[in-house]
Amino acid sequence: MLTLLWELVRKDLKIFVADRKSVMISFVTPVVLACFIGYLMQGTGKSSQPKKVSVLVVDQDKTEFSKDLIQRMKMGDAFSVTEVDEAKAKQKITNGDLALAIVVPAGFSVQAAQAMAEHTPPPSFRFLEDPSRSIEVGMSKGAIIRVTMQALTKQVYGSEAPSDDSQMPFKIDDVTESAPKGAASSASAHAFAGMGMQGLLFWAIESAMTLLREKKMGLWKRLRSSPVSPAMFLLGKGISSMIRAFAILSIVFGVGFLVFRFQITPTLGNYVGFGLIALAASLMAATFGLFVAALGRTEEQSRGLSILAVLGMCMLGGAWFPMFLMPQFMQTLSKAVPIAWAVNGFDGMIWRDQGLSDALLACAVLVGFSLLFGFVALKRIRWEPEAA
Amino acid sequence: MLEVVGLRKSYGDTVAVKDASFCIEDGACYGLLGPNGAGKTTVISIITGTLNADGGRVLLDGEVVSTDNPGPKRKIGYVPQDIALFGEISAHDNLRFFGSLYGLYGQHLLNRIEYSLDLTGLKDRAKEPVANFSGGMKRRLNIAAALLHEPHVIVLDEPTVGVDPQSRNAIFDALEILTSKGKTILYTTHYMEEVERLCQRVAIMDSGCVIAEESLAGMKRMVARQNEVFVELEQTVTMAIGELPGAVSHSIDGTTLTMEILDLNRDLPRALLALSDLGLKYVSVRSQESSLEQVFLHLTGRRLRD
Repeated sequence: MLTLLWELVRKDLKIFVADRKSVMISFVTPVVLACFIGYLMQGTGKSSQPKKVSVLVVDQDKTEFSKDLIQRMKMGDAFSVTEVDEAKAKQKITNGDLALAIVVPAGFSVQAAQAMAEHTPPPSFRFLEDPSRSIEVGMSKGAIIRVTMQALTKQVYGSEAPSDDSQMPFKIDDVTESAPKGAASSASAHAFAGMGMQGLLFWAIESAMTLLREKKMGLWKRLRSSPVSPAMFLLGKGISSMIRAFAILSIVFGVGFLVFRFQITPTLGNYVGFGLIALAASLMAATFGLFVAALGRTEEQSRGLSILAVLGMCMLGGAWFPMFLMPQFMQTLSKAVPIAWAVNGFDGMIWRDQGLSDALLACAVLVGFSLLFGFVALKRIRWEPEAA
Repeated sequence: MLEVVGLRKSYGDTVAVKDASFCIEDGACYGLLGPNGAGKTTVISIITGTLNADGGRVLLDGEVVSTDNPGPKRKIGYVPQDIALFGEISAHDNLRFFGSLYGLYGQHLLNRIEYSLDLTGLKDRAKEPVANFSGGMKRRLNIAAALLHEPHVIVLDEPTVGVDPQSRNAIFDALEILTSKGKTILYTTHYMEEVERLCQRVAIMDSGCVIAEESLAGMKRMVARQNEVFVELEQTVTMAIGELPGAVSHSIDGTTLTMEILDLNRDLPRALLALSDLGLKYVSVRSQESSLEQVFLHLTGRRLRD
C-alpha cells in the first residue's frame, strides 16, 4: 500500500516539477506580494491617526489620583479602558488581543506630584505594547500623556490649568512585549504569513482546477477502472498537494527570513511550533483544493466561486491587513476562517513570542479544518461519469 | 467469459441504456457498433467498473463487476475514448504510474512497460513528455497503458478516433497480436471496416438497446439486399431505360449505372445481356458485397455516422 501511495504522490510531484512556468508562478507570486505588502507595512509605525482604541490599565498605584486618571480615560473619547493585573495584561498583549497596556506603578502619583511641584526626579510610566500595532500605540501615548497631565494638574494645583514652569512630571518607559526586532520586522513577518497563506490557497484552487481538467480529459474514468479505491486516490492527491504547499511556504518564508531579516523566536518550542503550523497549513491548503474540486462540476463553475471564497477568507483571516482594523464582529468571524489561525500561528512563532502550546492550538484547528475539507471531498467528489 | 445481462442506465431523465445483453467468449474479438449516443460508452463504463448500472449486471468469469469490486477490475484493461494520459510527464512515467495501480512494481513493471511500448511501437519515444506526441502516438500509448497488467479482457472504446493511417495500422497490428495470444477484446467503434477487419462477432446498439447480436457472417446474411453492381458505360445515357431483367432496381448517374442484384451468378448475366440489347456498351463491371454499414441501414433506416 505504501508503494502505491508513493507512486500516486510521485506522479503528482513529477507533473508539478515538469511545468516549470507554473512552479515559478506558484513560488514567485506570493513572494512578490509579501515583499510589497511587507515593505508598505514597515512604514505604518511612523504615522498615527485619531481613533478610539482599547487599552488595558494596570493600577498598581491604587490612589485617588490613579482612580481619577482611569476615570478620565474612561470618560474621554480616546479609549475603551479595561482594568487588569500586570500578568493578564502581558498575556493579552502577547496574544495580540490588544495593542497597549498602561502600568501605573505604585507610588506614581506621589512622585509625579513632587516632580511637578518641586522638580524632583519624575517617576516612570510603563507601556506594554504590541509592536505590530504601532498606529494604536502611537495614538494612545499622546492621549494618555494629555489625560495624565490634566489629572496631575488637578491633584497638585486643584485646577485643570497647568502652570507655565511645570516640568514633565513623569517619563514613559516603553516595554515591547513581542518581537525583539520591533515593529518593522513584525509587520513584514505578518505580511509574509498573510501573503504566503493567500498564495497557498490560490495555488490550491489551481490544483483543484487541474483535478477537474483531469476529469474532463477522461483520466478519472481510467483511474476508476483500476482496482484502487477513491479514498486512496484522494489520500495520494492530498499528500502530494501537502508536500507542494509546504515547499511553497518554505520558499516564501525563506525569502522573508533572508530579505526582511525577521526570524522565528529562537527557542526550540517556537521552531517546532513554526514547523508544525507550516505542515498543518499545508495540509489545510491541500484538502481545501480537494474540497473545491469536489464541490464543482466543471472548471469554469468552480473557479469564480472559489476565488471569491479565498479572497473572503484572506480578508477575514487578516492576510491583507491586521485584524484589529476590522470591526469586532468580523474579528469574531475570523475564528471560523482557517487562514486566520495559520497567520496568527505564524505571527505567534515569529514575533509574538508565543510558545509551543499556542502553536499546537493553531495546528489542531487547522487539522480540524483539513479533516472537514477532506471528508466533504471524499463524500462529494463525483468519480462516476455524469453522461456518456 | 464476459456476460452482459439486461443492463439499464439513466442520467436523470435521460435513458442512456434501455436494455443491453450480450456474451463474449474467452479469446474472442467482439465488436460493439452503434452511432454516437447509442449508449456504447455507458455500457463500456459499466463493464469496466467505472459506473454502476441501474439494472441488470455484468459478470466476468462469474464475478459481478461493480465500481467497488476490485477483483474483476484486475482482469480488465480499459482503453477509454479520451486520451487519458498525463501530458506533462514521459510515456515511461505514465506507464509506471498506471502499472502501479495494478500492483506492478520493480523489474516486473519495467518489463511490462518495455513490452507494452514495444507492442505499440513507442519504445524509442519512452522518455519524451507525452505532450510532444502526435495524436496517433498518444492513442497508441493510451492502449499501452491498458496492457501493463496483462488483463484477460481488453476493452477499447473507439480507440482510433482521429488517428493517422500509420497509427491505425499499428493499433490493428497490436490488437491482432493480442487476439492471437488469446486475449478477449471488446471493441467499440462506428467505423464498420474496423469491425470487419478485427471482430468475429458483433452487437449493434441503437438508442440504448442492442438491436442485433450475431457473428459477422450472420450479420451480413441478415440483409435481404445482397449486392450492388456498378456498370461503367462507354457513353452517357440519354434515353430512358425501362425494366432491366435480373435487376431488382437500377439508377443512372452520368456514365455509371447502379443495379441491385439478388444473385450474381443467376441474375447479373441477364441484366448485362439486356444492356447489350439496348445498344449500351460497358467498359467495366464491379460488385460490392453487403457490409455492416448496410446491415445498420437495414436495421435502423439510418446510416451509422448520421
